[in-house]
Amino acid sequence: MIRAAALSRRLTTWISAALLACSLPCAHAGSPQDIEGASKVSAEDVFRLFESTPGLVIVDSRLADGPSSGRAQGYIEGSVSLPDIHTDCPALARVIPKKDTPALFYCNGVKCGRSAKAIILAQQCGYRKLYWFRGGFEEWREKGYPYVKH
Amino acid sequence: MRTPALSLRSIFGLIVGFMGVLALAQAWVSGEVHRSHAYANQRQAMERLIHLKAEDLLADLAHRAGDLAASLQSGTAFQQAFQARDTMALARIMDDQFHDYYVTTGMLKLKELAVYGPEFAPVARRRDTRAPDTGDACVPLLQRARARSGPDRMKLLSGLCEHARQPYFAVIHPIGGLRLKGYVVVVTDPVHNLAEMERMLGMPVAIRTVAGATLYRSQGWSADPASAGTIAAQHVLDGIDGRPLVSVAAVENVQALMGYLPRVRFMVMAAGAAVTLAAVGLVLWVLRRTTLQPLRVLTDRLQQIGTNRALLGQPLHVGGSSEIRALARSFNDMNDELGELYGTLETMAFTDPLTGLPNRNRLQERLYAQLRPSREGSSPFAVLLMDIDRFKFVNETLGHSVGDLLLKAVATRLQGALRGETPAGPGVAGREADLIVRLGGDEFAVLLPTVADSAAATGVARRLGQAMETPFAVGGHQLRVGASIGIVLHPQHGTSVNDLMRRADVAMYKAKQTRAGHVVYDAGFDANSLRRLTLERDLREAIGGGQLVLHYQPKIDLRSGRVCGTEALVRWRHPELGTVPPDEFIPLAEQTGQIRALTAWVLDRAVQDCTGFRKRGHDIGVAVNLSAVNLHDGDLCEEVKQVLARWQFDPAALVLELTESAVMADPERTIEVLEQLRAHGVGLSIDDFGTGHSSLAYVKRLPVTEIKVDRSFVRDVASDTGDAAIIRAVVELARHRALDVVAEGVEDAQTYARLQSLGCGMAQGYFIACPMPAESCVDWLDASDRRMPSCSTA
Repeated sequence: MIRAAALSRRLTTWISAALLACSLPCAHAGSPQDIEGASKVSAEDVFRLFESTPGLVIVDSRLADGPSSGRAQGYIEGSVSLPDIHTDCPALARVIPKKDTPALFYCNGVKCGRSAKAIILAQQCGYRKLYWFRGGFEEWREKGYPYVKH
Repeated sequence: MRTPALSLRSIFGLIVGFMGVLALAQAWVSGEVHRSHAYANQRQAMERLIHLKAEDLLADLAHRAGDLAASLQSGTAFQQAFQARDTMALARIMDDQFHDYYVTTGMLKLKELAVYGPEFAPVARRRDTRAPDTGDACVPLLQRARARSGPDRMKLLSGLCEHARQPYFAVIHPIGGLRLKGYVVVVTDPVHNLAEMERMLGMPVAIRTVAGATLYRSQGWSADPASAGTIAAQHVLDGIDGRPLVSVAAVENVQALMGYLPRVRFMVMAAGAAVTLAAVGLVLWVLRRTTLQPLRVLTDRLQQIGTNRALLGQPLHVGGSSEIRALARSFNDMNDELGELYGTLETMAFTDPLTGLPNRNRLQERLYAQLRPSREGSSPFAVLLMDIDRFKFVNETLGHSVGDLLLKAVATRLQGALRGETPAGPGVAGREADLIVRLGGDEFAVLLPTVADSAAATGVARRLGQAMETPFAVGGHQLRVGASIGIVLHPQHGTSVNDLMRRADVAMYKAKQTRAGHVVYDAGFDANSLRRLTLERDLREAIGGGQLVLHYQPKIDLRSGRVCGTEALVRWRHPELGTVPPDEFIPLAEQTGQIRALTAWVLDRAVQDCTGFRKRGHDIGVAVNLSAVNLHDGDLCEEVKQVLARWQFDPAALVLELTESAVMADPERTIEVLEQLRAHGVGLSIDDFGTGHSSLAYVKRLPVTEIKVDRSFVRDVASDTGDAAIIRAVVELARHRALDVVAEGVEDAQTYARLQSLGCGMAQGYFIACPMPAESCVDWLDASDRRMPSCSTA
């Protein structure tokens, strides 16, 4: 009986470890559906937000260096490039003037986790009016909205 | 008109062949349908492909044009010039675009660039100076862009449009990013890009306006795209306003496919033919195994049975289908029944039912087989034909049942005798090949296939005759019968069945006639036998046909010299043979059973004539001779009574004469019959007295009224004292019993006188009168009346 209980316990541990090992890369591969404390918006919402919210800062969280980087494919005119890997409180403070300045984050799209990561960092840095354009550049281009490309 | 009957095999072959042809036709038709379907599918697939590729190419073009527009407006110089509405500067900047990377590399054929304000107020416009004016080609596109509102106004808008029968592709791109400031319109030539399809599809391509003007045509484009071996497909691209503008067509070379299809068709047909042949073969094989072969066995057996009856009843084992097995079972059952039936019929046809001996058919069959020409040489054999003496007598007196029993007993005894047995017990080795048959009636025949000479045949005949000598104990009677056997030998006495049997018959009659027991045929018999056969044949007709006549011989009373009676004597006047003596035809009548009719006729006619005599005043009687056979005729008394009544004749005037030998054949019976006759008052006479070894004891008991002394005693009575003593003794005997004595055969006066002196009562003979016809007799009687007085009745 003792041996069986021990086996059962060990099995439970293995299964938990396996599930955890699976869940980590899965979370990396895409973005969550929602981020608490941030408003999720569509491409059309981006226009309305832009018109109704003076001072809105649009942050492009994609990498910006090199011809094959995300931003090199084109970007929403007026957006600021702040790759997630460089995002921290001081960097954010350089592009977003105040903690209550509305800020919208996007990256390539639903498969890209960079904007989500950046928003979570911004929340940790104390920014309160955060918008998340989850569909990102893919949705933008698909819907035929203009973008800037160099 | 009759349709010729086909064999089952041919019918099945035709049906399966017909189905095979149908299957081939179906394969061919479905092949054709399949081919046209294949072409139609191929064409549809090509149309769809052209459609998708055209959309891809135009989307790609829109993308490049959009990139161009984005690139144009992102420049600071453009933004400043646009902000300031500096038309000159904008024109300069836009002119630069005609030398842009896309344009110079041919990825984009730029025709026009235009810049508009946010409400589509024209700001600047530049076009490819080498190309025709695009005019207001894309007004509908602009109108649609202007009609939009909200975020939609920021979207890229592209589409085909037309000016001066030339297609263009325009893209409207917003200026200002999220904050709309105006639009850049890029107009390109789409033909160049659509022609890319040639490379992508690997097919010759033609691009034309809907009106038919060719915009582009590949080098490999054939003059007649619908010619054999190709499939042409096209897709029409609509303009932004929904009107068809440009058709894109491609031609696929399907020579390989078309070459392949007939091959497939040929293979399908060949496979169909092979399957049909295999099916025909299989069906025929199965049919042969299950039906045709067993049926053949059955029909063969039927034909064999036709020639070989031995196969009847022999079961046949047949395989095949259940129906055929059932048929074979029925066949066997029927065959069994037929076999039994045939056996029964054969037995019936070749067996005499009464004696169980083979019959006449069997004898004939054996004789024909014996005489068959295929046999080696002409092997000699003998045939014995046998007739039972006095059989008819037995049959008529004791009845047919006794006759039948006698025949059976005779058959058994003959068989035994033939096997060498004696009536006392079994004898030595039998003769297997000998055949004894009953021909019918009392006739038997024996075939001795190995007997070659008359001595051996006679030996067998003697043995058979001896076997018949022992009396037969039948139905409580001890019957003594004899046999008359005729013998013929092959080939001496004939070479045909008919000749042999006829001559055996002749020999048999000869034996009967001569009481010889058995006689070997001799060519000399034939003449006699022919006369006998003729008489036998004609006798019946003679009795009823007026050929018989009665002659009368008067009887004289020796004491008074008066006529006291006549004896009726029958004569036959045969139309061809003349007068036939009674000695010849009376025995014939007795043997053939016609004696009864003959006697009845004589009786009737004699009484009738005598009635005539008596009516003329001659008070005389008439005597009629009876046969021994008549005594056994149960109807004799009745017949006599009827005749007497018919002519109202005095019974005492009728005398019935019976020979002594007839009396002695069966004295008890004779006495019985005579007593009945006597009871009717009829006179009775013993004829030929003295020849029949009669016992005087019987004579004493006989209820007769008259004795007729045989002529052999009368003839020499005048000179022979012995005869005279006999006559005297008879007269004495008669006197004691009050009988009349009549002497027959009185031929002279001495005899007449001697008889008178001996005390004999009456005489009859040529001396007195010859037998004469009734008419002459009347004359004679009339004359005699004058000579002497009539005799007194006894």
